[in-house]
Amino acid sequence: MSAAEILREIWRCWTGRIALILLIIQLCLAVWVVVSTDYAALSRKYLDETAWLGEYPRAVPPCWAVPHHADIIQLKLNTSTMKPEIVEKRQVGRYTRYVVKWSYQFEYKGHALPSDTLLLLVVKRLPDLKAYKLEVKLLRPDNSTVAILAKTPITKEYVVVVGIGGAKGKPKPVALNTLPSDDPVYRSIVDSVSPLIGDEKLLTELGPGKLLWAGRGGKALLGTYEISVVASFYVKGQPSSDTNLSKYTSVYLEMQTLGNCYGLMGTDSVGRPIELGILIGLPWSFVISFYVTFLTTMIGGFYGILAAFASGWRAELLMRIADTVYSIPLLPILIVVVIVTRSYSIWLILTTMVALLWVGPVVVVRSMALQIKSQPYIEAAKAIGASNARILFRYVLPQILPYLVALMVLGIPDPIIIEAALAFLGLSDPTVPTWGKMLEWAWKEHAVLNGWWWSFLFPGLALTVFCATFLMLGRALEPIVAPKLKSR
Amino acid sequence: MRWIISKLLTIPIVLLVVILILVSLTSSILDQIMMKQIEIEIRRSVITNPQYANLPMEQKMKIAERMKEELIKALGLDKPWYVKVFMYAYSLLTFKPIYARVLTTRIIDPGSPNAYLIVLERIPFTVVLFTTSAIITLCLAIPLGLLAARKPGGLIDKIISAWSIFSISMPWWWVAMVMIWLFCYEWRIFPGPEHETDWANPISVAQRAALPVITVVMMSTGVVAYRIRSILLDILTEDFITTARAKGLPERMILRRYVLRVAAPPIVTIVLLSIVLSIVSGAIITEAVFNWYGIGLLFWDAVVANDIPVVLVLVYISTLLYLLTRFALDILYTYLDPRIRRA
Repeated sequence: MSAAEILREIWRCWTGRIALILLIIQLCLAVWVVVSTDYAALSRKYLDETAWLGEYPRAVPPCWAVPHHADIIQLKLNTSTMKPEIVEKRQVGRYTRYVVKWSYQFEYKGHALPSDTLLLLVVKRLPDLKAYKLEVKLLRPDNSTVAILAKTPITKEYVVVVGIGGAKGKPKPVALNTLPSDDPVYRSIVDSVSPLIGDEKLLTELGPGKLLWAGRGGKALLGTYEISVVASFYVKGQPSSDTNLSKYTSVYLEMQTLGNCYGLMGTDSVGRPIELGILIGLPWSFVISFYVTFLTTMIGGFYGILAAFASGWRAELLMRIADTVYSIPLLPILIVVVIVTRSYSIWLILTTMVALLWVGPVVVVRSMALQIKSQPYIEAAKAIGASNARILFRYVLPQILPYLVALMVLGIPDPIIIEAALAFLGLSDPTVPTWGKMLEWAWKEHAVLNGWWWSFLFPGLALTVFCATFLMLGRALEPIVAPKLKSR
Repeated sequence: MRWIISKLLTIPIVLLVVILILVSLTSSILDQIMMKQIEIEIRRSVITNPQYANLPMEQKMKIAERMKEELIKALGLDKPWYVKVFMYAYSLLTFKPIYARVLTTRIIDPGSPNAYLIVLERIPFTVVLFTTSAIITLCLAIPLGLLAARKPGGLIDKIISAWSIFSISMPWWWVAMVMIWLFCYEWRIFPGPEHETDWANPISVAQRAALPVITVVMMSTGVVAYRIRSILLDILTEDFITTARAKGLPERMILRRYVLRVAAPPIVTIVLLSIVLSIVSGAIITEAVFNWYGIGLLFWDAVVANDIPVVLVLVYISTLLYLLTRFALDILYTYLDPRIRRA
């Protein structure tokens, strides 16, 4: 039977059809991921928990599971390009006191709270200003005011008031909910919202990143917001005009809300998109399963045929060896190997799997080979004087090969599931992004307890679909390949 | 008889192979553990011994050094590695006590660091969980397999086929996670895995067991029913069934008297074997996810705590149990199926 005929035969039953379609989709996706992206860099980034800061919202569900979406506000305000409003200008002795305010209005339209808010606040000032104080306020649609930054003295010429990094390199915005609860910004926001919300539990549950936009009962406040930056300082002498205020000081404020949902499958607790992880894990699933099953079926198949052609004590010995290996429990040994060697290399894990799994096809292949061996045409071939090798390669192997392929397809799920189990125990290669590792992260971050169902449901489903594809294919293949042998 | 003896002989062979693998992998770590024990021994007998209390520190150290050398020699730790491998293998085979690094017992002799006791006290929990599941699985799977085999390609057959495919494709522990999320946190029907359970009280244990049993039954029934169906279909094509049909026996009678009689041995062995196998393989993590106080959770604990003596004993004991059950099943099979006895 040719390959095209087998394919046509598989296509005829509906499970085979589904399996083939799924297989083609997954293969295309795997190839696409490897070819169209910088796969190595992407997987390295995916494995690095710290690389995802502020890029995507953390631990948010997929967008289709959320009834109302939060509004994405993106503000980048630089006071030197804005029109200042002078609130106060007063002569005090030899100094002039200034209170300057820059404000900006925007609309919040989303019916849900964002998951968090990113904030960056950088101040530059001249060194000869006296008693410089800065305040940032958010006037909200319900006319309440939230002090994002209570009056804070700024003593240096360049200060990153809120943000990560500073002295060197470009400072990055910080997610407000990741601030410690004794941080002045955290306290200031929570304290100014708390009379409105009242409920202490809700306050800590939402955190400052959400509270900025929350009204009574923790619901999103819709309408016009006004954010204002107020700086107060003393300038020596009497400046003649106020037009050049930005030479004294400038404030850079960046504010961005992170959505309450992301993409098709949400994100995990450090802000990695789940769908990206599934895509990155797909090529490795193919590598792991094909590497192990190809080697095991080849070794086991060859061994089985060998055992069928051997005679007397040799056959007995071969089968005893196979029996012994078959009785060794796989997962415990794998765990011991990985723990003891302290080498989490994926190739060590896979090779150990091959070393223990190769016995799988031995018994079936041996009985098949024995059956073929006893056929009259083999005897005829022997009578003509065909060598053992000729009989093996000319008559036996071609008949067993298709069945070996079916066995291989049916065996695909095993290595994947075992690798996932090892990864779940924290014993997988730290440089290989697999679905099992995503499940481990989810479990370690208490995703089940926190109800972040998307972070463990989708990786597990990906695993299930991958394995089921090959099982369905194998089941469709089996009756096509096997009866041919039986009928002879 | 010869057959049983040859089967019996495989047990020590496999056990020896497994032990040799284990010991040769862990011998350097075992060395460290033995040295640590020697150190503790010396501290007790020399440094903190009131008998030597009046001696100056230098002399004490000298005595300690001499004792250490003696002990190393007495325990054979100075021998080359290939001798030590067999030494360690022997001490495993004779169940010489091995002490855990971190973990201790909680029920039998609470607080004891003896690795064998730590493993032993967990075995009943695993056995209870999986035998309960196995019995329920069999009760469900046999009728389902029969129904499927009666009409190959029918609706029930298709459902069972799909069910088995999905059960094999899903890691059990992942299903356990989903079940916990749904039934413990979303709907709050069962107590969650973080729930404090008194492991000596059968009622609270039963409460905790409900969800794990449901999960294991759900995951194994499809597979077992599909296997039963395949076994039955194989038998249904045999000649004596055709003869029975030709005699005009009712189909129900054929199924009960002829098919089930023949199918019973493989069904029993396959089901039990698959369950025993699942205990030493996949169930390790399922138990850990459910926080069920069995062997699986111990594996998890030992791996997390990096407690290698416990891992060693655990692998050894679980292999032993696995081999013994397999042997028992082989005997059962021959008892149930007279054809093999004669062959």
